[in-house]
Order: sequence, then C-alpha cells, then structure tokens
Amino acid sequence: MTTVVESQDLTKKSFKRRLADIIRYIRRNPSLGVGIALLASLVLFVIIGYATYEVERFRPLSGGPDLAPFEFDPYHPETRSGGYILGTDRQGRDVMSVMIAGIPLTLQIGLIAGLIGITVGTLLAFIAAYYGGWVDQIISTIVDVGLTIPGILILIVIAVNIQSGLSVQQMGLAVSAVAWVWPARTIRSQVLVMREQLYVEIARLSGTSGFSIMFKEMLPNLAPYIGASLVGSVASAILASVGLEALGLGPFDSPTLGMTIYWNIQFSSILHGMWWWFGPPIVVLAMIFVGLFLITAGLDEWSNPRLRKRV
Amino acid sequence: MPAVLEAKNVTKVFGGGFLSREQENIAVNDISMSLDQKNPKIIAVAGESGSGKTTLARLLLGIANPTSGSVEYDGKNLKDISRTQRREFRREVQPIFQDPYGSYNPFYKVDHVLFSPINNFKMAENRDEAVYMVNQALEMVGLVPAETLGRLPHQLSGGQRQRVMVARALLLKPRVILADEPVSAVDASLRATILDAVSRLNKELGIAVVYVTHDLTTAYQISDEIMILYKGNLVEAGDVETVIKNPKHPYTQLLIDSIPEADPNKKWGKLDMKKTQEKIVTAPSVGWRK
Amino acid sequence: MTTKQKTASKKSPVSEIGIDVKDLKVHYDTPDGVVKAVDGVSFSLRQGERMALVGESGSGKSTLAMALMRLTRAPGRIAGGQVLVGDQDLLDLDEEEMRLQRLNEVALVPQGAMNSLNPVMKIKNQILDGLYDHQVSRDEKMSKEEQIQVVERLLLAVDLAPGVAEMYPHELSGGMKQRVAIAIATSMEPRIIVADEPTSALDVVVQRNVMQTLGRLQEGLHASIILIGHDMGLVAQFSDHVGVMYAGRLVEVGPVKTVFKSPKHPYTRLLIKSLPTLSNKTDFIGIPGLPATLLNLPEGCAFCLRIGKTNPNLIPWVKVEKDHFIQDCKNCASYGN
Repeated sequence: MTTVVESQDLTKKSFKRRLADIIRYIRRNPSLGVGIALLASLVLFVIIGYATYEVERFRPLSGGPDLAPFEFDPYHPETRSGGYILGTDRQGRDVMSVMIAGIPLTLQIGLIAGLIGITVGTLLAFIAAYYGGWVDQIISTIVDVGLTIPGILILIVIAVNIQSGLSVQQMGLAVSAVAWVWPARTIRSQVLVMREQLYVEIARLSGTSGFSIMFKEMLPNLAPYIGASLVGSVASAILASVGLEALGLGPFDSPTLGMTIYWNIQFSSILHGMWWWFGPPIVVLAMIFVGLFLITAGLDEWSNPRLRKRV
Repeated sequence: MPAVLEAKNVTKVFGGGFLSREQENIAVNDISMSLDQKNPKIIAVAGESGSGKTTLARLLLGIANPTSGSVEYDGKNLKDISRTQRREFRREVQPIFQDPYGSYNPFYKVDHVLFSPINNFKMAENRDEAVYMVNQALEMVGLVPAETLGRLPHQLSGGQRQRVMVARALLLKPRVILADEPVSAVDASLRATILDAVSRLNKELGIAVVYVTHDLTTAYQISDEIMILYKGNLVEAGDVETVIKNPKHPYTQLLIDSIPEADPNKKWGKLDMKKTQEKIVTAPSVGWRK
Repeated sequence: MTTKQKTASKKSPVSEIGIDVKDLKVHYDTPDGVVKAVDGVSFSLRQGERMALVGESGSGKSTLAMALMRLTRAPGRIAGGQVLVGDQDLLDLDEEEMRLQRLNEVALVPQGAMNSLNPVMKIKNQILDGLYDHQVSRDEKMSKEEQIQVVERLLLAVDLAPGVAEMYPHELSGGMKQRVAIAIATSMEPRIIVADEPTSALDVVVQRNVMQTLGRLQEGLHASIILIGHDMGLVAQFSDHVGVMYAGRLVEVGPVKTVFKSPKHPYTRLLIKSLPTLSNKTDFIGIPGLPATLLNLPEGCAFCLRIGKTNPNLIPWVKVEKDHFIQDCKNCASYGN
C-alpha cells in the first residue's frame, strides 16, 4: 500500500539558521561584505541626511558663497552663525545638502540604466543563443559592432540632440542605450554553454517548450551571473553618466555627483583650494566604485563554485 | 507488425566536407538493429570509446540525424513524422543518461525532473494523481519517497539520483528506454540495484531496453542480446550467451580476454595483443549470429 | 646520487618492509564538524609486493593516497600516525626534504593523465623536469647525449616509441599519456609507487596493457606498489594483497587469494558478492543502505550503521591468519554469510 507523500520542503531552515549562514558566508567572502558595507553606509548617510538636514539647500544661493566648513556666513548671520558642515560652493550651495541629495540621484541613474541594460541584454542574449541560426547572426553582428563604437561618443551624440534640459530619468534612459551591449555579449556566451547541459537535454526530452527551457531551466541558474553583470552594469552606467555630466551634458538643475564635478571644473575649485567642495564627491564616487567592484568580485566567487573557498 | 524502433543501415559522419576544418569521422557505419514490441528484449550495445555506441543511441533517440539510412518509429521515418507524432515519440522513447549529476537542474529539487514530464505530457488529471504516480514510481526503484522528494540533487547520492532517473523513465511508461552507461558513475555496490530496476522494467512492464555500455560484464548480466561495436562498425551481434561464451570475431575475443575477472585464479590477458590486433584490422564483421 | 648508484644500493632482500603505515589519520575541518576521511589506517607492505586499496566513494582511499605523498591540501590535514619508508617517517620531514623524497623514493601515478601532463611542454621536457629537480649537485648535470639516452630508455620501458619524446600531450592517446605518467613516476627508480586509479579513464583493452606495463616496470625496479581503485576485478588480477576500506577505516587486509576466496568481514563479503561475472548470470545482489557519510561519524563499527545495527565500542583489529587482518565486530560479522 503506497503511503502517498506530498513533496515536503526538506531544505527549509529556520530564519535564524539562514541568517547565521549568510553572516558566516559573508565573513568568508570579505569582498562581498566590504562592498555591501560601503554602499550600505552611503545609503544610511542619505537616509540620516534627509531626516536631519535641510536638504533643500542644494540649490544655488542657499547660503553665502565660498564658505569653508563652519565658517561664519555673513549673508545669513542669525540663522547660520555656526556655518555649514561642509561649507558652500562658489554658487552658494550647501555642499552637505548637495551630497545628500546627489548620491541617490546618481545611484538612480546607474540603476535605471543598469536594469534596462541587463533586461534588454539578457533577452537578446537568450534569443540569440537559444535559437541560433540567422537570428543569432543578426543580433551578434549588432552587438559586435556596438562594442567597437566608443560608448561615450554615442552618449554625447544622444545628449547633444536632446535640446531641452535633461532630467535624471532621461539620463538613465540615455545611458541604457549603450548599457545593454556588453551584457548581451557575455550572457550569450553563458547561454551557449548552458544550452549543452544535460539537464536542458532532459527537459527537452520531457516535452518542455523552448521558452520554458529558457526561462524556467536556464535563467534561474544564470541568476548569480546576471546579478554580477547587473552590478557591473550599474558601475559602468554611473561612470558614463559622470563622464557626460562632467563634460557639461548632464541635467543642469540636479545636484548629481557628476554635475558637482562639472561645477568644480568650471570654477577651478582645486586652484582655489576649496577642498570641501571637490573632496566629498571624489570620496563618494570612490566609495561607490570600490563598493560595486567588491560586490562584483564577491558575487563572482559565490556564483562560481570552483572559486568558492568554502569546504 | 512493425518494430517499435528500428535503425536501418544508419551511418553518421562528422566533419569532412569541403568547408569543414574537422577531419572526416565516420562515427557510425551502416548499422541496423530493431526493437520488437511483442517480445521486448534488453539489447546491449557494447564497445569502447570511439566505437560509436553513444552516437547510435543519440540517433535512436532522435536527437541526432543520420547522414544516410533511417531511424523508424512504428514504421515511420523520424524525419517524416508530424508534430503530434513527434511528441508521442518523445514520450515513448526515454533516456537514462550516464551522468547522475548533470541530468539535474541544480536550481530545482529532484521533484522537478519527475513532475515536469507529467505536466508537459498531461499525464495526470490533477495534482493528487500526479503525486500518486510519482510515489509509486519511486517505490518501484527502491527509494523512499519521504526521503527523496523535497531534496536538492546534491543532497542525494549518485546512486539515488540515478534511481530517480529510472523512476522517471518508469513514470512515463515508455515503450523503449535507452540507457547510456547508467551505472558507470555509480559505486559498485549500488550498480546491482539500479540494473535490477532496469531489468524489471523490461520483464515486468514489457519495455524494450537498449543498454549502451563499455562494461561487458554488466551487459552480460542483464541483456538478452548484445551488439559489439568497433570504430563505428558492428563486428558481432547475437544472443548474449552465444557471443560471450563463444566469440567469433577477434575484437570480441580480445575484449573478453582483457576483462579482469574478480577471481584471482582466472588470469586475464592470455591473448597475444599484437597478433590479435592485426587480425582485427582485416577480419570482416561476423554480423548477427543465429 | 646518480641513478646508477641508487640502483646499486637498492638491492634488498624480499622480506624487507617497503612501507609501513601506522595509524594514519587525515581530518578535514568543516564548519559542520570534523570529517575523519582517514581514521587510523595501518598496514605494511613488503618491498617488491603489490597492494591494492579498494573502497567505494567516500571510503577515504584517494585521501589516503594523497596523504602518503604528503600532498594533502587544506582544509584537510594529516592528524596523526606514521608513514615509514625504510627507516624514515615521511610525516617527520620538512617541506624541502619531502619534496626530494617525492619521485625519488615515493612516486605517484595519478588518475587521469590527461590532467597531469603539461599541455604546452614536450614529453621529453616533462620527463627531464622531474630528473633535474632531483639532481643533487650541479656537476651532476646531464649532457645532451645523456638526456636523450635517459628519455629513450624510459620511454622504451613503458613500450613507447622514442619518437614520443618530441610530441605534445594532445598528440597522444589516453593510454599513451598514462604510460608517460608511469615513465615519469618511475624515472628516479622509486621504492614505492602509489597509483591512484591509474586506468579508470581508459578502455578495458588499453587498461590491461597499461597495467601489465606498470607491473613489469615495478618488478624490474623491485618497487612496492600501492594501487588505489574501486575495480575489484583489476585488484584480483593485479595485486598480491588487498585492503578494503570503508568510512575511512580499513575493514580487512590480506592476501588477494584468501580475501577473495573467503572474505571474513561482512562488507568485503557483500562487495565480492555484488560483483557480476562473465561466467554465469546471477541474481542481482547489492549492498543495502548507503555508503557512510564521514561527517561526525560516531565511534564504533561503521558497517553496523549501514545495516541498521549499532556497536559503539572500539572495534579490535584482529589477526585472522598470516598477513590477514580484519575489523572484528561481533555484531555484524555474520552478515551476508
């Protein structure tokens, strides 16, 4: 007599155990830990900033110009006798407010471009790799040509052609136009390999349709790789956007990190020794890039079992 | 009544040709075999690496196309069958592969590989019926459903994974099973259980089995007939007792002579290698023995 | 010492002990506990004899092979015991001394020669590599002619044409590559050869050739050979002695004829019974249960656990007859009889 058993989940651990596992893993994968910590600290900084500081002062003429940190503001003697934590820039922006407002904007651009880039790239990669033939040929050719053209060139052309001022979201979209190319290439290689796996063959022999195989069989296994690509994409997108903004092609009214750098260049802040103005954006950008890089390295180690240092 | 699956003078050539960089490789050279439905047997396809046995299996499974000759299912050429017929073929001819780990998608629990074909081929009316079928199949291969379902592939041993694969084949109640080295990657002590399960599939459920292997000993143990392949050619075939006990082709003789028996008193390697190899090159195929 | 001097000093009487392993332990530290991959293995082998260590996956035999060569890698570590070759305990030596011992006294023929040969080096350079590494002083450096002679001699000894010296590994077949590995392993005329599943990736006919070559070489050198494997048939044909491993421990050790004819430990018994033969069709007998997991394996009899019994006491290592020892657990001794 068969006692029928429904599939129990023999892999469910208690929440506490799972948390302990995650913490233990992060300890053994310092890249991931440190990377996440760097970005988390920036996010925390922004949250606390919005809660406690007057972020509206990112606009020009919020305070007296060229004030060093904590220097007395002669234009607002009663309200700002203690000065500003990070001083002000040449146009009277409160640098601290600029940082608090700017970080999420820059990250937003990176995320929009990164997510769109990865989504489009993954879709095209799957279609090209799975169906092969002329579909693959067309997509691969476009990708290969796209890779040889310098991204910044395309971005400049796009930015210059958008006559009206660029918003942060539009920046994100513009960068995504070039962000999909590299992921398409790398993910296609991964799918080509995966296509030959035995379990894909068995899925086919079990009657699974093409689309199902792509999204149900292959995609979940590619998730770590795609995750790592996403982080890389976000980093490149931020870099590209900062580059565009520094050239003066960004959203002028927004205090993004790149625009801050633009203003720094315009007003020769380094020559004037205004370290409180050029210092913070550089430090923050460095933290963002190092953090994202470390996360990618950490994800790489996680997704590639051969690199894993655990037993 | 036509055979359920039949290979008619199939040849498979890789590479060669004007634009190809690869050297021409005749993987399978003019081989014929048939699987009967009324009297389903276990036929072993034995040979070493490069013999073409895996290619032959892939041709029979329909995942590779012959360069010449044809593979027929119920009398119809695989190339000519309709979509619905092809779906039916997919269901009725099932594989068991050698790699008990690679056969599983590491993302899903092993249940996935059992329930997926039931869903795709609409073999059960509802979830309960599907669960019942899966439980039955697992028990038939000696596995305890409560300890097997719900686990990820790496949580089971190689032997258990391979048995789940056999259960999967059972589930689909195919007419033909193609087992490609199903026990090579499994410990010796577990081989017997798996081979026993395969054998019972044939004896109790009437499923024809093609057992591809390089291990003549296990082939001898479970098969009714055997085909010996050498470099893509069929050199000898027939009733397994006849071929093994009284091999006529020099290659078969060499193969049997080289097998180390687990009995220190029966010494291996009595045949003279050089002379036998010379004979092999010139000897014609013995074909199917009566 | 030049190879000539070595040969002269190596002639030893048959009864001399080639390798004596005493209570060897190899442990792996994992976050979930200690895995005792090799849990107190002892055996000795006379110079010139062949021993096979068999076991299923997880039995610890490959770990043991690596430990004998002191090639154990973190997170594994040798946790105790002695490996005596001649009078020298290999576990006592420091890294540099052990490096000199390898190839010189103890050589490894690895599994899967495809992976052990350098794909971008010619065969002759790979053979010479090992020899150079062990030259004691500079004035011992070989001249070009000597080099060619040595390589040719080694290749001929493994039945390979001298022309192979100029080839690259990808130009050779699996059997040929394995022969090259054997040639390299025996180039310094070691006392002990450890062969870890040397033919598992090879076809049966090639396997027989390679094993016969290996056997001939071993006899010529009067070396002892430890063959690690899972193919009982190969063991029966090739070795003089056999040791059966289960769950990191030796359960039975003895002359191959006696162990195969009348195995005394139930695991050995079942293992032999589960082997199919070409003589007659039999009913299938497997071994019930699963191979042991080594994580936090409790003290006492590991095999009892497999058949659903327990015996938590320390199992004595008992001599059944000359050279024949078993783990004597009263609880499961009669299983499968």
